[in-house]
Amino acid sequence: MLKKPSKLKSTIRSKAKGKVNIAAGSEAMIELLTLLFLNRLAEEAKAKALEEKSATIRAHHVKAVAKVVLRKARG
Amino acid sequence: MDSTEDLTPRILLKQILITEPPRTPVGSSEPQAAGSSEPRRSRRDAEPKTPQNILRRSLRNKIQENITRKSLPLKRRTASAVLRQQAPSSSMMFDDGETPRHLLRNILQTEPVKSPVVHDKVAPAELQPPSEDNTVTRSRSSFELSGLDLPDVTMGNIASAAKGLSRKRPRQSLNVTAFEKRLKAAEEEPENSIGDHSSLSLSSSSSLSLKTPFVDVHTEKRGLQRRVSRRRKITEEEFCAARSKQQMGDVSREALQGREVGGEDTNLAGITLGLSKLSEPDVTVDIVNCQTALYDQHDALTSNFSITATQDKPAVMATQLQRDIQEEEEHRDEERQKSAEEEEEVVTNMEEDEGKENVDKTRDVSLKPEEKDDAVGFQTFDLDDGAEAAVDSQSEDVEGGSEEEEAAVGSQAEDEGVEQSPTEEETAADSQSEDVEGGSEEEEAAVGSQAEDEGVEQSPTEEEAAADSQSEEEAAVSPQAEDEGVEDSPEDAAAASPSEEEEAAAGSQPEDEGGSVVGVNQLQRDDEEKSDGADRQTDQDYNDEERNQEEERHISRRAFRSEGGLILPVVKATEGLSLIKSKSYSALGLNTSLERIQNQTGKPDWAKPSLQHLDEDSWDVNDPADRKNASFHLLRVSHDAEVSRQQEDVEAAAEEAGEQEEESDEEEDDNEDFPGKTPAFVREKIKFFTSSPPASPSVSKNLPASSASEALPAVKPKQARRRQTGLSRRETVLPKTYLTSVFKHFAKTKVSADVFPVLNEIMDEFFDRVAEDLETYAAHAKRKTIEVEDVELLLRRQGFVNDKVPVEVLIEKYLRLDQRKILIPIATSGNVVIPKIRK
Repeated sequence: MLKKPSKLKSTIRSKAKGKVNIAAGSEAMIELLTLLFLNRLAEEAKAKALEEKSATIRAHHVKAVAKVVLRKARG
Repeated sequence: MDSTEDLTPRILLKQILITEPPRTPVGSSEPQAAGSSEPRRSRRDAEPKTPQNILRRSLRNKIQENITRKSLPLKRRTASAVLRQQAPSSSMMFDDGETPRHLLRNILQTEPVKSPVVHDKVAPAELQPPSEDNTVTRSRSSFELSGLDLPDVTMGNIASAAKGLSRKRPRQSLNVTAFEKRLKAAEEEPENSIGDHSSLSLSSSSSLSLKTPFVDVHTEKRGLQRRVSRRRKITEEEFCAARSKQQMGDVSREALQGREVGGEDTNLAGITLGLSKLSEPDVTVDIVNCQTALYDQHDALTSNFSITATQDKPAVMATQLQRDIQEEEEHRDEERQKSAEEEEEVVTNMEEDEGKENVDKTRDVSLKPEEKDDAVGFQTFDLDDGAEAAVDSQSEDVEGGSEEEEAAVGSQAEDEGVEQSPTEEETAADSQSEDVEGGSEEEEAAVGSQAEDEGVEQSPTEEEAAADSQSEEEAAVSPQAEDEGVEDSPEDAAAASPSEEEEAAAGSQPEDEGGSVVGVNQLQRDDEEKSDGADRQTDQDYNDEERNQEEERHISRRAFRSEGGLILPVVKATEGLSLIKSKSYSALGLNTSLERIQNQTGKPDWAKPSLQHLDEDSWDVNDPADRKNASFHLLRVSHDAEVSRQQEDVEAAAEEAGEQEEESDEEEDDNEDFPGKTPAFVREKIKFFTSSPPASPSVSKNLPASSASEALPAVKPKQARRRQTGLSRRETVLPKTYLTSVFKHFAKTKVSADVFPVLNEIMDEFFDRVAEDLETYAAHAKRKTIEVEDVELLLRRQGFVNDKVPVEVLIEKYLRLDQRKILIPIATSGNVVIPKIRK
């Protein structure tokens, strides 16, 4: 968050099917998107980890919640 | 008496009944009256013996007597004793029958407010004076009067008592006097009864009666008879009700009365208004309750179903997704096999088994991560862009496949793709790529294209064509046919020339390649096989015959596979392409295939490099064996590619291919001329080599491969970087440090290190979706640039922003200041706003 995620723009551009440009402000918004998504993911994973009584978030926690969070972040 | 009771005539009657002993109308009345009169008299004595008081008492007595009279005919003598007390007075009141009757009527008409007690005093006083006057009338309507009187009295008494309003009593007294006066003059003068609201109707029309319910006596007289008749029923009912009430109880009386009355006495229709109401609602309530109960249950059931249904969906989805991811490969194989078998009997899959094995492996390995995504997202090969197809085709081409085959395939694929869908192209590309590696180029191409077509639309026809081509003459005929086919398509024109050249080159290899079909299949398989370099080597041995067989099978398979995920296999193919290239180059004329691929559209990357490789190899080493091997491998790879592609990887592959395509697109143009392709091919070769590090070892094993690879390194450096960057970018869309730091920050708890690969995958998928959505929104707004509003719309749709949470809040919460400055205008001095608000 305190650092700018690098190559976000290029990532989006590469993933987009056609040719798209990304406005300057929209790049910041996409950052916001990723942050929100990560936030949600982290929260869910934390809850899942706590559910298993583990203070550490492990990979399988994240995996288990990933599907749900991804589906929620559709649009 | 009962001030708390509702003020109804019934209550009054009750009280009166209670208080007064029942009496016989005439006989008992007198002695009783005498007896009762005495106490009353005593009472009277106590009271100042004023004419008013006397009148009041007389009236009261009359009323009471009337009440008792009425009670007697009704045969309810529980309270008769009470009434009998009043009998003597009532007897006297008989004379004043009308007046007490009137009183009662008035009371009935108007709700009683006064307590009976008061009325007792008043009534007798009132009754007494009118009794003289109303004896005659009383006799007539004794019953009526009594009945009337009762309720009136009771009502009046009850009312007065119920109200417990002290004010009534004094009023009553006034009323009594007024009433008495009126009574006397009632018959004579029709007086307008004052709307007395008080329970006792004794009050005369004079203004005295402040609240006596008593209606004007005179008015009553006129309509006396009618009312009386009516009254009777009412009074009787009321009386019964009153009695029942008394019996039941105090508090619950009223409630019960309603029901009891309603239930018991049908006659009580008129009186117990409230009672009836009470009874009715009960039934209705019960009914309602019953109904509601039923409804509730029903609702519960339905809700349960709905819940289960809804629950099922996500579960189903999840399971489906999982299945898709995990089982895709297996299913694909099965499906492809089945479809292949079903569709094409002609096509014999010689190499299928081998290819399948390879396919499975390759598919499994390469497809898994990508397939998952693809499978989830796109089970049906939705080739949004020809790019995907192009990619696939490129991959196919890259892998190898005879030039001719490739050309043919490309042409076919092109035709198909153009006509039908990008999938075809992809399959064609796949087939092409496969061709590059080995197998009869033409046949392969044809097969590949055919396979694609089949998978897409014209499965049978093309396959047949491919099969025919195969059957006819694997080498010469097919390439020629393919060439022709290639030429037909405009796009293939460019490829045609190379294809011809390839054909020439491939002509030597036709037998080995066993028809383009097989080669095409191989291409697809080869894509997959690419990842498994080892397979190729072994495949080389089988090449010729097996290849042919495989090709046929491939064709059939391709038909199915091509439809599906071409993407993954394409991607894999690219990796394996390098390996295959080495082989295919030597074995097959990749140029044609590459060209075809290029023609197809945007599939140049793999195609070109593969073609280049193939060309180089082929030119360098016209080794049929090599070609065979290459084709063989290509076949296998194509199979794999086909399988993987056909099902779901189309998009994924497309995506990947897209990246590659982008790179290759540039090169495509260069490849028009065969000789001119070399540099492009070389470049592509390098790319492929760099992109597929695992392939390199296998490549090295192959002599031809090594030779090809040697040629590549020169071009490698440039393209290698691009490849790497593309691949690396694909692996981690976000820098790991950034990702981990952010995740840790949000998690606020310890995070293990093994989380991050998973996180990468998730972010990859996430970005795919985001990019797709944003692109859609921008396209919807007919823009080519993703704007802030697009992202905002996406945020809104995801639920992060709603009416409660505006976007700005989120911006301020999460973004840095520099970003916020861009998004939220800040007013600075000098009336300057940053950033400039455009509009």
